[in-house]
Amino acid sequence: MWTAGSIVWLDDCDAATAGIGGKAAGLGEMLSLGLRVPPGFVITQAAYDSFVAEADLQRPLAELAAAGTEPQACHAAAAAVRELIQSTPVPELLAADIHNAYDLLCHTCGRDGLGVAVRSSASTEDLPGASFAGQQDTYLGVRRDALLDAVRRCWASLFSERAVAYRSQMGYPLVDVSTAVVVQKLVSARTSGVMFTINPVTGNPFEIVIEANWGLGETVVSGTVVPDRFVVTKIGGSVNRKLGLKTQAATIGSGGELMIDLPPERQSVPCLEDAEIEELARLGRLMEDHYGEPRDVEWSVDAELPFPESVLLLQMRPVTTTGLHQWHRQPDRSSTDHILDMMISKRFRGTGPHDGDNS
Amino acid sequence: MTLTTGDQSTNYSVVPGFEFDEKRDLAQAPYWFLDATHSVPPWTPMFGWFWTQFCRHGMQYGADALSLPTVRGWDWRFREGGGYLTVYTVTDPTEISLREERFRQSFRPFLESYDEQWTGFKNEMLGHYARLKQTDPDRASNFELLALLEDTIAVTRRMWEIHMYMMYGVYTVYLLFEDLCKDLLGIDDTSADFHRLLRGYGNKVFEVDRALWQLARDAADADLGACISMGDAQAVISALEESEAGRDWLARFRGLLEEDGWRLQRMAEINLPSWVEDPTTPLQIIRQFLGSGPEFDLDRKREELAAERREAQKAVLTRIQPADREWFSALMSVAERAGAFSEEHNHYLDLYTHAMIRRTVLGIGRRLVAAGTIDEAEDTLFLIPDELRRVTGAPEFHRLQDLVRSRRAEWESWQQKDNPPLLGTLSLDEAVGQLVLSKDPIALKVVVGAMPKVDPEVHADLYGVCGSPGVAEGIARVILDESRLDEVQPGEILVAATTSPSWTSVFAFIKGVVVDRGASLSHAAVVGREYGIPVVMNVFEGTKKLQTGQRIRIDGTNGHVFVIDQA
Repeated sequence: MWTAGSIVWLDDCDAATAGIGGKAAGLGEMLSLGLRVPPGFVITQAAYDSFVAEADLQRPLAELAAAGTEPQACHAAAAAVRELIQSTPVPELLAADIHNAYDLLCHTCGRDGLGVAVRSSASTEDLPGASFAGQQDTYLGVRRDALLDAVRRCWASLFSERAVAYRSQMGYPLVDVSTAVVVQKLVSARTSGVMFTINPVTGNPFEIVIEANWGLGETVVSGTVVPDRFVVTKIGGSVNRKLGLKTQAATIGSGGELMIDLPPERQSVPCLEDAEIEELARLGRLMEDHYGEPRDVEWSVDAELPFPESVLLLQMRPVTTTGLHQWHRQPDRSSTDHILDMMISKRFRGTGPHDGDNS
Repeated sequence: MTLTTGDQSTNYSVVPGFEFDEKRDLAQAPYWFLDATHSVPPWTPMFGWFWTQFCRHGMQYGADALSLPTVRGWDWRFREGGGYLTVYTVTDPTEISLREERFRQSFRPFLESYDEQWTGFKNEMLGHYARLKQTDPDRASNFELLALLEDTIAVTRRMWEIHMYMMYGVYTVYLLFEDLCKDLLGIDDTSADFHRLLRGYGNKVFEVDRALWQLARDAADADLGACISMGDAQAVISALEESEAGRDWLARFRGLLEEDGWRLQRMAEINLPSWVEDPTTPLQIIRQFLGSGPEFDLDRKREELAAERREAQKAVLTRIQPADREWFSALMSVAERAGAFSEEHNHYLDLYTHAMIRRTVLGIGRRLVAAGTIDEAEDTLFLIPDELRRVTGAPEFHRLQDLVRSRRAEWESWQQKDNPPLLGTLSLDEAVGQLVLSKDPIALKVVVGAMPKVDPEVHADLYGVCGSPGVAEGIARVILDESRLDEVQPGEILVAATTSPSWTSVFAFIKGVVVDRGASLSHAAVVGREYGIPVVMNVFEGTKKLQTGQRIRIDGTNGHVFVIDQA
């Protein structure tokens, strides 16, 4: 058994679990909804706290705190903290806990030397951008011998320039912060991509938009290639397919992520089967029903698992709605008054979308 | 106009005071649109008199009662059987502001108590109709007939007040909802998703169709199918009278007609009988339901649409931030009533009132025939109320045959030519631009409609606008006259000048509809959406250019009609 509180399995997490950070809580909640995510565990904030307590971090942290909003000094102090975190050994007991958890994960997945994905799971205040698509603190294809190093890098990312500048700007505590780390089986990604449960371009809530490419999702998220695009109607379920320009794919090599060129015969066929599109759309609707708002999801299809277990969700977040402020009701107006306001300002006084084009 | 026979050289107007006068009326307004939805083919004098007087009155009443900021209703003129309209647009900013202030109060009931309001009006009108029916024209004295005429006129005026107050209100809500959907959701009313949000509601016209469908099922169960499929209505009724089961069925059929059969075959004319007078149309509908087989289930179809609507509304609400969901839902719940209102108001308002006008006018007509004043009761359709007032007290002293003859000849000459779609000094596009300035929801959504966009790249044979989205291919069936609706075969595409609630039942069997004039809240569009079939509106010349038997493909979403092969 491991030290109390340093490891929590994802199956046991939900939104209410303390000390696991936003990403892990989200994954736990997805599992509790019956959504498939790759199996894994969380190295909790308590584990990070115990590491900091044993490491000799007090002096550089104090210097960072003292540097305050002074950019030059802040910059140097944060670099020193990162350096120290990455070079300080993980305490023996904690290291054993992490290795034990990894071994158990390998056992569960039926494979020795399992490749895992290691990501930090902080609150957004502590690590902006980390809650989603956080490329800078995601380590893919990590095995046992490199695991502790990847974990320390995630911890160190708390003090990345961007994170420190953000906290400083927002007036959040600079040094009194913490992060958990999620370790998940690395998907053997045949195809990956993103899914929006509304059309992100038009805002049409009746459409689910899936963008996909062969391999890992990196090429879709970063826009390196023109992905295949599938638009699924929520009611009726018809699918509109548009092939992209899939010249490259991301894969895992010995040194981590690797770009490979795709041969023409793989560019010219869709990278998702109809059944997979349907399954993704089903999962998307399940999420949207649960959260009551549109979601933005990263997913992969695992080449080594049978359908439908192969369709796995990696992370999700709400789709931010923008540009709608002109329709918002002010708190001091009743619903009726607000509608009357809009009738006058939009319909009779303004040039509503239908004036001149009433088809 | 000058009479050359009979009442020699008498100058008269069909609608005194409202005949189109080019000099006077073009000085007042530079554009007058033909109401092609209602006055093609041209009206009889009697109907034109009622419509021109009171539709006009109702619109001005409705716009005033609601204090619509930018429009004070429409002015109407009568010209050779055509109704011509121009809009009273408010342009003075001070007046607009004052009207806006009143609008905030007067519009409130539409948002806060729509159902109570509409139910109240329906009951009021049913009360008026019950009162009119208490006078039996064949037993009434001449003076009771004159009182019935005045009461019928008063009821018509009141009907149009309710009609236009409600229609202005409901369509204002509908248009705002459409604006919102365009802005917030990126969908407009050419999108199937937009219509999924608002359809799948029961309404009175649907209930009548459903009752006829039930009668068809009962007839099949009682082995009366053969009787009902016999020739004309009289033959059917005689055959049914011969058996116990037939008499029982007929009693229920007549009960339905007495309750809901006060509708005329044409929506805006009184020269064809009501269902009560002549049950041919409802019997045809029953026959078509019989032919559609037992697996055709109206209720199931309705439930599917309602389930879709709930799903669609849920999807939309996910897109609305929680703080805005309450008002959005409130607006949507009124907007979704627009389709039902559009169908239902025809039943309770126009059609029922027009059936009452016909009942009164033909009742007086029979009295005049007995006195030798005219030759046939239908001759009264070529007279106007002033003339009935003149003669009905002592009809024996009057002879109107010559007047009727010349008016009928004139009416027949109107039928031979087309009234121009626009009178005035503006081009059609300029005139539509003027109309749009009024922001008048009825003008935009019903009478004029959007102008088709011609896209030379698609090589369509006709261009219209979306009434109901979707694509269909099938054999065209051009129907100009409702009495020939029984020719429509399952799977065909109906082509019509315009449609009305009596046409609704065939929508259950056909693949699509093409309509000469109208917009997204016109009857064919509303009903097409309820039945989930594509409808192309406002193609202008569909009934001229398409022929029964041609294979055509229609794209309701984009408003295109293609002829695939000739008949």
